[in-house]
Amino acid sequence: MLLHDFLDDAVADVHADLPALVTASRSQGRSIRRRRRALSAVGAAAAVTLVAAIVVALVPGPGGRQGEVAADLTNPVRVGALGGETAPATPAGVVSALAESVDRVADGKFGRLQGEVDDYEALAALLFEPVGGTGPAGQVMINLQPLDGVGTAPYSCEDAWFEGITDCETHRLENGDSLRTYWQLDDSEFGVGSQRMAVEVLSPARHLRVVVNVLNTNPWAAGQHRAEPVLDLEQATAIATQPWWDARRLPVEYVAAGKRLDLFEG
Amino acid sequence: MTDLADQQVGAVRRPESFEELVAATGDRMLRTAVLLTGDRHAAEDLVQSTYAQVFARWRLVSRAENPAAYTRTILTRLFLSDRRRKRVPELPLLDGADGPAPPGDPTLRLSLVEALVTLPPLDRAVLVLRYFHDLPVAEVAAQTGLSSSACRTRASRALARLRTHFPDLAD
Repeated sequence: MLLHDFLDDAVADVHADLPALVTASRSQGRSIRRRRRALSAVGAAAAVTLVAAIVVALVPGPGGRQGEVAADLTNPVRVGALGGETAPATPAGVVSALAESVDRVADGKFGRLQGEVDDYEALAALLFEPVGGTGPAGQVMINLQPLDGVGTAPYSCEDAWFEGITDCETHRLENGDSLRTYWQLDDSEFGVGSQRMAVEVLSPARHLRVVVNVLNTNPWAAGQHRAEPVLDLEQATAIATQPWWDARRLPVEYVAAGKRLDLFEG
Repeated sequence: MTDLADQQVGAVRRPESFEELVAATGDRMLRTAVLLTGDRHAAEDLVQSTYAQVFARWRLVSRAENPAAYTRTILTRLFLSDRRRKRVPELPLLDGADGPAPPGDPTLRLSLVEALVTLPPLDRAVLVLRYFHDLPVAEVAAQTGLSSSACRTRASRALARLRTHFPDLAD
């Protein structure tokens, strides 16, 4: 007898209580959304698209006032060369990896470090105030997700289209991954004048989607904007293309460094 | 090879609502979960958690190329995650599972599920995705995070173990 038939037969009389399943999973799903919003406010325009990253927009918490920018940390994470060993990802570990990655490509101050790891993805966000220029600190965010729901290679800008997107480009990297970059202007979350630059790495080999978002503002800035996002395209690409990014495991150095960080509770 | 749940959702291709997706795939996901966990209550818990994740990401899932496959991927990952796996009981194989019985025999059906549960979770997932969902090896590999060759090895080894109790089992 075929195993397929064995398996089919073994569960043939199993049926779900569909109305109850809908009700219970909706309720649990709402809790997940609320928990995520406690960390992040999802950028409305980006969240409704298949390909847009879940944009982490830090919500002002009890310690934050409109217009206040708390980017006062210098070099919050220092690790030496990575040894190649990994450990399970932690929220602080992901933030640690992001902060150190930003620090490797740009000079400036950091603030409001946040991270989350769940069964599906890992994400982190921080404020970064680069040396030079005027305006508020900008958010830098990273999402590490399974490569699901984004179609198959070759990836195109048509797949990534949503309202407000501009200057989208795709490139094939030497290792076979795809790089997709685009800007979103004047989004509903941050208002007219806001810019979000997104750099996506779509890696079938690692079954991973890395999305780095860089803003020219932050939720505490109350409509203030820099002329440009706080990292440029080359810097954001350098961060997104690090080969060790993973939704579940990180270099042990970052996980260890995360234990020394105080995360912002928004 | 085809997948019934995928076909069902394929009929509506882009489900208009979360309820529509659950209606089209709920039975199939629960059956998958029963095969993976070997326990009805654990399976219901797993399926509910899966759809909760789907609901929380509904705007993403609803635009996915194949929402049913997306849902199945989440279910598999939740099952394989340490947190979930710790809650799944490892049941001993029943004494009555030593020999084959006629198809449709309730004893056989029960024994097969319990025999599955004695396999390592990853082997179980490979078998269920490969032989219950009839997925190509490459897709099983993608969903489980294994290489294709590792999937073949695990499937072969797991089948051999099942055949010690069900000699007539064919792949």
